Amino acid sequence: MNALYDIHGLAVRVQGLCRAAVPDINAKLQWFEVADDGRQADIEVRIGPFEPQRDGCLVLDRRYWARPGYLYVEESDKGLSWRAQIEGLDRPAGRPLRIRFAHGKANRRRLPWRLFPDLVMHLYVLWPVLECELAGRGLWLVHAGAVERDGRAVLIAGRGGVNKTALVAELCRRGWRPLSDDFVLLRQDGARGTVALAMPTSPRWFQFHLRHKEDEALSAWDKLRLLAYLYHRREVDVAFVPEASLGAVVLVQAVQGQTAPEASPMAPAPAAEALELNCRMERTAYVGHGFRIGRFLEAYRYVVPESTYGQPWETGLGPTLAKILADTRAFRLKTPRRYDARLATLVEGLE
Amino acid sequence: MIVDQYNVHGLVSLRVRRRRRTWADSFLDSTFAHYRVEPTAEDVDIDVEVGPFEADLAGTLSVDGRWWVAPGRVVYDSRLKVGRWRTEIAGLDGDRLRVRIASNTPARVVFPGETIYSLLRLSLARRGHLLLHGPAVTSGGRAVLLAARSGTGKTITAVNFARRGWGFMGDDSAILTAQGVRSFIVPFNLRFTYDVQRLLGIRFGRRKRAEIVLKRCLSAATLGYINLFSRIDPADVFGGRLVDAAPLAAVYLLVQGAETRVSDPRPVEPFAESVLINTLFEADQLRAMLLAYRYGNPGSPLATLWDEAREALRRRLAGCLCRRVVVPARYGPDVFDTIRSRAEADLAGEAPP
Repeated sequence: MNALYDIHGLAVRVQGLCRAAVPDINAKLQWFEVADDGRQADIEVRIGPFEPQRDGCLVLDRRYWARPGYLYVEESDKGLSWRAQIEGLDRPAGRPLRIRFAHGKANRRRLPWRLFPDLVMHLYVLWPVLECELAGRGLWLVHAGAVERDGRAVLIAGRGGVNKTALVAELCRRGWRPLSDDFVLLRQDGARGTVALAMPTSPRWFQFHLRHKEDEALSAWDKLRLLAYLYHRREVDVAFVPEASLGAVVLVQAVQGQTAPEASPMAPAPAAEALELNCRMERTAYVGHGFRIGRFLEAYRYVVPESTYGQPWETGLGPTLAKILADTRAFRLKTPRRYDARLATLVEGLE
Repeated sequence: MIVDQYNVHGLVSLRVRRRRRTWADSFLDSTFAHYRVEPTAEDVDIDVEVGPFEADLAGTLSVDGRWWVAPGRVVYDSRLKVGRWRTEIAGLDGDRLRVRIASNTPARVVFPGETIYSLLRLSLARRGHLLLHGPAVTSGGRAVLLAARSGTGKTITAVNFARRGWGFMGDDSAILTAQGVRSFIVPFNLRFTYDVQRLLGIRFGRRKRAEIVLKRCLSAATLGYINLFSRIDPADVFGGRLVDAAPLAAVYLLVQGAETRVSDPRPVEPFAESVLINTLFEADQLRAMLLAYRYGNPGSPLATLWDEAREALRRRLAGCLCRRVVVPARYGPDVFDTIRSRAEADLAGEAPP
C-alpha cells in the first residue's frame, strides 16, 4: 500500500505499508494523505527487504554504518528488530531523502505489533528525520495537543500519560475545536505572531475518546473496543482546524499525591525550557541499553562531524521556543495521575 | 555498616556505604580498587548508600511514569535482565550528590557500571573535567588519547603500547582536565573469548586459569545469558608502567572500517564533536535522567552541562594533533604497527613543551 502525505508543504511518500493493519496506529501521518499525483516527494520511504550499500562505510557498535550522505542501521529494542538505510543526508536542496526500511523477522509475529507493524518505522526512523526536516523549513514539531476558539489556539503540552487526549476531547465537548491531540507544528509567521498547525497523528483514536471514552485509562475491554473501532475504519467526522494563531500554552504535569488539579502562571523562560525538554524527551522515551530514538543521527555525526544535518533542530529548538514563549502566556497545570474532569474547567478559566 | 571510600586523583571523591557485603559486590569492590583511600569523616562529592530505602515521592513530578522529579532530587527504577534497582539522587543542583540505591542481589553486579559511572561522569563534568571514553598511553611524558567505540580495539591497542614500554593510563577511559590527561585505571574487563594471557603477555596462576574456564562454562551453559568477564587489575600486569598524569599531545579517533588508514591531522572544530559523541554514547542513561530532571526543574544549572563540556573539549584539543584512524574488523599486528609508527612520529615531530 502506498501513500503520499503533504505535511504543510513537506511531501512524504511511503511505499509498502502493511494492508491488514489497524491503519490509525500503523501509519501515524494518515490525516495528511493526499492523492498521489506522482510528484517528487521530499522524503521517499520504502518498506520491504533491501540490500544495504555498505562499501566505504565506517562502523560503530556493529549497528551503524555511515559515510558522507549515507547511513545504514541495524537496531533492536524490546524484542523488535529492524534495518534501515537513509540516503541523501546533507543533500542539496530539491533532492529527496530516501529511506529504506526492513522489518526483523519477529516484528510481524509478535501480537500487538502484528496489528500495526509499520509503527516501528514511523516511531523509530521517520520521526527523528521528520523533526529535522520540518525544523529546516521553519516548522517546529512540538509534543502537545491544541484546541481553538475564536481564532486563538491553546497548546496543551505534557509527557505521555498525563491525559492530554482526554483533556482535548473534554474541551471539544465544551465547544472548543481541536487542532490535534498529540502533536502540533509551530511556525513563526511575522505579523501574525506564532501559528499553530494541526498534526493529528491518529484522528480516529481521538474520535473514540471524544465519543465513547472520557479518560485514557483503558481496561482490556476498552482496548478491544478501541481496536475494533480503529480497525473498522470509521468515518472521521471530527473537523480538525488546520491552523490558528497561538494564544496560550498550558503545560500539564502529573504530580504524585496531588488530589485536585491546580493551575498557576509560568514565566516565559522556564516554560520555554520545559516545552523544549518535552520535545527532546520524546527521543529518550524508550531508552534501552544501547538504544535511543534518533541515536542513529548522532552516529552519523560521529563519522561525519562536519555534517549540518539535523543541526537546525538540535541548536534551534531552544532559542525558537524561547522566542515564541516570550510573547505568549504560559501556565503550569498540576494534575493527579488519574484523569480529573475538572482539568477542562481549569483550562477554560485561564482564558 | 561497611564503608568504602575512593578518591580519583583528588578530582572527585566517592563513598559507598553498605549494610552487608554479598557475593555480587565484588564488581564494585574491584572496580575502583585503584583509588581506594581510608574512610574519612569529611564530606565527599558522591555519597552512595546501598540498601533498602523508602523514597518520599509525595509532591514529586511523575515524568513518563519512570522518573520522579523534585527540586534537586530524582528517583527512578532501572532493570537489566534479572537485575532491578531503584535509585534516588539528591543534591543535583549543588556540588555534592547524595545517592541511595536499593537493589536485588543480581543488580549489585550491574548498577555500579551504570549508576556509579553516571555519577562520576556527572560529578566530573560539573567540575570541568571530562571522563572520556578511550584509553590514553604516554611516551616521553606526553599522552596520546585513543578515543573509540567499544569493540574497535582500544584495549588491544593500549595494551600493545604498554607491552612495548609506553606508559599506561587505563584501558577504558581517561579524564581530561584543563592541565592534561589524568589516568582512570579500572580492571581490564576482558571477554573470555579472547586469549587473555596472550593478549596481555602474561601467564596466570592456576587459580585464575581455573576461574576463566569456569566462567566460560557458565556462559556456555546459560547460552550467553550470564556473561561474567575476566577482571584483571592493570597494576598486576603493568605495575611500573602506570602513569598518573601527562599533558595531551595527540588524539586518535579509532573507527572500524575496511582497511587500516591514518588520516592527516584534522581541524579541531568538527573533530571534537566526534570525540564528544563517542563519550556521550556511553552516557545515554545519564542524559535521559538529566532531561527528565530538567523538565521538572527548568532553570537548573545542569542545563548547560553538555555545552560547557563541548566548549572545554574544544579548548583542550586545540594545539593537539587530531587524527582519525580506520581500524579493520580483524585486528592484526600490522594495524598496531601502523598506529604505533604514526604515534612515535607525532610525538617526535614536536618539540616537547
